[in-house]
Amino acid sequence: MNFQLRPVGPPAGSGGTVPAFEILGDVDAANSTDLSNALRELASPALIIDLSLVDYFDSAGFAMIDRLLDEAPVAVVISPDSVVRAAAELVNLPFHDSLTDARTSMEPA
Amino acid sequence: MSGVPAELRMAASLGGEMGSRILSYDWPAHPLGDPAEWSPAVRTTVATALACRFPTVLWLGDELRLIYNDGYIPMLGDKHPAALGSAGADVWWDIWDIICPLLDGVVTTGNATWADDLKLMLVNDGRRRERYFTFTYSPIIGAAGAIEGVFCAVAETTERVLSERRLRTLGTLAAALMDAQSVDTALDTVIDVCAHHPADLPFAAVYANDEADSRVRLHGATPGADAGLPQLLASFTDRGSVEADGLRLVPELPVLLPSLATGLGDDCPEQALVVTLSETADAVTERSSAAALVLGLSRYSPLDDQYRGFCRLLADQVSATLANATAYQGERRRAESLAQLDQAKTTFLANVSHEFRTPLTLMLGPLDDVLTSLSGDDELAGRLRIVQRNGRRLLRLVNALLDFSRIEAGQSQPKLAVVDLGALTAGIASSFAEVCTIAGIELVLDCRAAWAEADAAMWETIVLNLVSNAFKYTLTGSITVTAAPGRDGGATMTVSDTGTGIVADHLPRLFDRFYRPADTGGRTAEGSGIGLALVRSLVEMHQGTIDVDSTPGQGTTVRVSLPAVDAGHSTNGADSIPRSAKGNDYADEALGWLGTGSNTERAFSSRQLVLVADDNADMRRHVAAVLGSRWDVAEAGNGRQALELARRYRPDLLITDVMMPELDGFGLIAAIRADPLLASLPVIMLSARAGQEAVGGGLAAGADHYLVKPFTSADLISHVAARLEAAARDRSRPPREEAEDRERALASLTGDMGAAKSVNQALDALLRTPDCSLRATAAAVGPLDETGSHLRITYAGDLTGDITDRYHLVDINSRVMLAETARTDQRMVIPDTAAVGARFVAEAADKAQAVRACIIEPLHADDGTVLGAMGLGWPRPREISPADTDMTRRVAAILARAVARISVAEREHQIAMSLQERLLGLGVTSPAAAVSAAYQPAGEVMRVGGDWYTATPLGPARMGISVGDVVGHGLPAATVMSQLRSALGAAALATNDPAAVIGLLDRYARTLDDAAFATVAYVIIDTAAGTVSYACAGHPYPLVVGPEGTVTWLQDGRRPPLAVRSFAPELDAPTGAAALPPGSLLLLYTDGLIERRSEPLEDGFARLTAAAAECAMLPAGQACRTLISQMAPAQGYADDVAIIAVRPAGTTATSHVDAMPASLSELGPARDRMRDWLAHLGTGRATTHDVLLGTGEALCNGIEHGSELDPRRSVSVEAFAAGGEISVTVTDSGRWQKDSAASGASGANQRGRGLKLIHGLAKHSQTARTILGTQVTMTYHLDRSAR
Repeated sequence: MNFQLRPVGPPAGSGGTVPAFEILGDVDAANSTDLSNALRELASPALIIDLSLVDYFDSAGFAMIDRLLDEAPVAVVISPDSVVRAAAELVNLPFHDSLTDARTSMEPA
Repeated sequence: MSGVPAELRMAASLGGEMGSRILSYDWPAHPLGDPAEWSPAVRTTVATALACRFPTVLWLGDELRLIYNDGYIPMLGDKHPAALGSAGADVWWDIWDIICPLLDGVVTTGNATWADDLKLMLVNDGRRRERYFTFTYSPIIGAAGAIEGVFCAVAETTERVLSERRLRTLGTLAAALMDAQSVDTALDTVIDVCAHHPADLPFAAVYANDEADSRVRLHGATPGADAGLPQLLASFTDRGSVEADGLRLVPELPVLLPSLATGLGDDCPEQALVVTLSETADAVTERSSAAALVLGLSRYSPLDDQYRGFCRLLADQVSATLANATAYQGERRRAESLAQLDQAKTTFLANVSHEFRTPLTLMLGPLDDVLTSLSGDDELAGRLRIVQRNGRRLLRLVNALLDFSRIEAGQSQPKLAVVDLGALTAGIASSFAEVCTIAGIELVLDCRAAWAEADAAMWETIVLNLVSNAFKYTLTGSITVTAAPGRDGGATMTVSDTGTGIVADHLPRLFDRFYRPADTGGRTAEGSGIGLALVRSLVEMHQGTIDVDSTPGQGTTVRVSLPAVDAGHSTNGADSIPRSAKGNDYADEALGWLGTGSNTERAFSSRQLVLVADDNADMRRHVAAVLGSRWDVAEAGNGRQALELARRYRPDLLITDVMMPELDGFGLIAAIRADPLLASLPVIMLSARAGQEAVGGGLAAGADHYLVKPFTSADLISHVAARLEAAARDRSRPPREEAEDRERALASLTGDMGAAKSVNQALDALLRTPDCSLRATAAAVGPLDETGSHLRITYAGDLTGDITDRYHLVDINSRVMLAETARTDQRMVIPDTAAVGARFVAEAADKAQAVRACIIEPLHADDGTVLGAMGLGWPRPREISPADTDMTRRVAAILARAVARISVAEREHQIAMSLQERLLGLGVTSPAAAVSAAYQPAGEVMRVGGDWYTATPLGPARMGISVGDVVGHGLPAATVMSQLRSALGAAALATNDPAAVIGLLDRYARTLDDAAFATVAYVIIDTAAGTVSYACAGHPYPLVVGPEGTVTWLQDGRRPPLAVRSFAPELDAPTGAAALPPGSLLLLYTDGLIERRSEPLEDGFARLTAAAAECAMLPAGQACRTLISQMAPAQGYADDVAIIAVRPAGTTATSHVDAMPASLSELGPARDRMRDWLAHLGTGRATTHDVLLGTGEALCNGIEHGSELDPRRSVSVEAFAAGGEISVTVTDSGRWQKDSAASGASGANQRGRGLKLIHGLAKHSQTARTILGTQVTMTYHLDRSAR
């Protein structure tokens, strides 16, 4: 199973400008570089990545996100009921509970 | 005499005494004259009377003179024999007034009389006696028709009459006593009954024990006698003689008691009987003088057996009644006093509660005012809020007591209104929503409309108490509150939790007031024991019922049912329910139970550390705040947590509460005193239990000091300071003494280290010797490897698996402290790792959870070269003195010698093993199965043996496995083994028929020297077909362990050992076949495993059958290790042992085995296969991800570091689901060769994350490294909830 990258539109009338993408499927050591390349192109100037619906996300994926966080203004969303939440907490990845929270952090009113 | 007529003479001869007297009487001188002249009628009558035995008397002549027979003598008494012939008026003067008219009547009228039981007071021996007679007077009629006399036949009935009368008396008494329920009433009744029966009881008196002076005094007497009787019984008992049966006869009463006669007159008895009354049957002796009956005896009746018996029976009856009355009175007194006690308690509670309420209210009011005027984050406000919260708690407790006592006293009446209990309950219970969210507990409200008559305020108390209680005992899970209409109208509410539950023994008393089951394991041990009692009282006031169901460990359900509403009561809208702030109070209190207080994240300074254990968060924070200015403080919410923290942080002082959940203060102290590393920790015990006994108990339990609550802050500080100073004094003993202790410890450590067989054991020995380890909680030793380029570090103590894995193999140039010390040969002293140099910041941060201070020492060989480095770590920053480093230097020297010795031994072992390994070789494996092997050289001797095994891939689903054994040891055997192994490998590729492979091998073996009698087993597994085909040349049977543990021996395909020329090829059996379904385990081994000297081989097979069955659910590697240890003879193996274990790739309901080439591209497909298996198991989403992630990370490690991305090697996954757990083992076939820490590089970061995910998400995890590969085993909870 491979991953899928899907744009998530800003809520109507919110005037949000930062693009947001959700990742679906599996991300592992075999395909994390592909995902990294794809995201790097998108993360300019800023990007919101929603991992809530991902089915599998391993340390290679977390390492890739970590590098991305160093390079660009990127916010990560992991909803409280996401399966990767426990793992993300374990590796100290900073994340937001919801897209709205992430937007608020990136687009101060 | 000759004048006596013949009939009289004849009658007189038959008439006994009276016959003789009449014959010899001088009749001629008598007024009646000569009998010969008596009228014929008289003569005949006299003759008849004399001959008759019935008492008979004849009254003859004008003066009614008496002639009588023998039967009449007893009636005359002393009047006989003078009465014969005497005039009636002279003989019966005493009763003449009664009988004269009767006689006259007969004489004058001729009419006979009849008297039945006529009472006649006869005088005999000068005494008047009460006697009864039945008689008839009839005329004696002469020939001329004249009446010539009176004939009288008489019978005395005294005995019968008296007997009947006395029985009647006893009957009356018994009836009268029936209702007597007190001793006094019983005694009065006796007197009363006796007074009505004066004939037998002229007087009766009762004497009873006077409790004032223990003397037996007059209690009462029949009228007329009371004045004349003595006050003390002793006046009687001093006189008189004791008769049988405890009766005492007192004679001469008129003399003894002259005044008695005044009251009783002529009938005053002459004697009396004293009868002692025994109140209780079993205390006769003790109570024998406690009461007595004095019975006046009728002066007209002799004291015969009958009279005495009557008195005795009467006394017995009274005794029995008194015993009953005493018992009854005792019961009633007890019941009454219990009721009074209860009442007193209730009154006391009410008074106390009331007295508390006023000052509490006066304190809380102004406090609220102050708090509103302060800003929220003011420090003072924080402290005052503690005061406020606890003041409110006290007020609530007092209110509950007051409510309770009012109900008990019947002063509280519910203000009933018909309300919707569903809406009411939901509203009340929801006040716990927030605190449940904070605690991570689900609060489920399922309240439907249910109308019932209730007092809303009381209902609120009921619901809040039940929910608060559920919250107290529910640490995880949910609390469910439901309300619904009851089955027969009315309403039912339940509060269910998933908490600790209640042991069945405690259930019956649960609702008793002040009842608090011990050891409940809730959030807090706090509680008054009043809540549930109050709830029950309130429910009962509503005519409702309450019951509880509980299963320990699963939870409790309390059900309250209220009766149906009477028709006609109007419904009262739920909106008029008065709402109070009570709910907030209860929730606030519950909030105080949270915050278990382990502040492990708190940054400790190098100040001394005080550990505070108390289940009350406010108390804990208060103590922490008070002590915080001078010392570091760690907090624990219960004893167990405190023990963990004490072990981790080694505090300098412990302050503990007595009552705590899970482990109380006494248990905590006991555990600390039993731990050699903590035993000397000073302990101050805090408790609200005052009194010398409590203090003594605390000190006896091992506390150093006992502080009674409440205490002032200054008190607390001075006690803590005093204890710390005393402890410091203890530590700074005279230098010489201290030095001696140190030397002793070092000597002991040297011995322990000399005995250590592995580096792990050496480190454990060090940590077990606190004087040498300076009470370190973590230790590490890293010897340099053969090339001197890496350190292979072993850890002991408090470090997590991801850290020890990650810092296992480090480059000598890496930014790791041990590497630095080994490289520079310089000791490192780090009092606080937070202040470490930039080079080691990353390592310090990684280990900060366990190590905040450390000393790293280089290890030197005897010749001074550096062997590696060792480290000691502490969980808190600490000062490090020159004495400390002096000790670590000496410890390093001891450890270096141990490490050098162990390394040499290990290296020898390794050389032998790796030679064998090269020869045995499992380097190339197949994706058809998970394969593991183990090799155990015989005994202690390190030598190359003749055992081998091979695993040859024969396609994607097929694999050839062989095990062989060459006769002998050493190089010749090894050479033959190597040749046979190669030949077998080649033959295996040439044909798929195992018998043919062995045949080829046999032909080859015949060409070799020294190959004769070598044995071999060869098996081809086909995982697609689920079968094995096999052949054995003189080798012990391979076996298959089925998924359920059934053992199948592969006994076909037999042929003789290799290169035995004398055997003919026609003896060779064809290839055997057997099933190898998924989930089964194939085992091949050499005979060393089962053979024992002086034992038939069958015993060995039987042992192996049992041991192999245990391996049904073990991963292959662990199965090998288990068999080798289980099958080992007590003295060790006499021969080399080789085992190869194979699990075919495949999936069953409870197992999943997968193997793949060491390539990252295999990860995805392997994950999908495992995901399918987990889906069939029904694992929840989160657990599925955790299992897949841990497995994936472990596979990644195996592929990258174990098998070095070499696709000819394979990695395998073996997963089992059993007992509510999933355990996954990932095996690679190599030894990690690269630096596992690779300081700072991003790859290392990723790798660190991987190890964290392997160890952090699993419930348990462990890493086993052998020369043949690395195995990581992770265990997860099998959570089926479809999350």
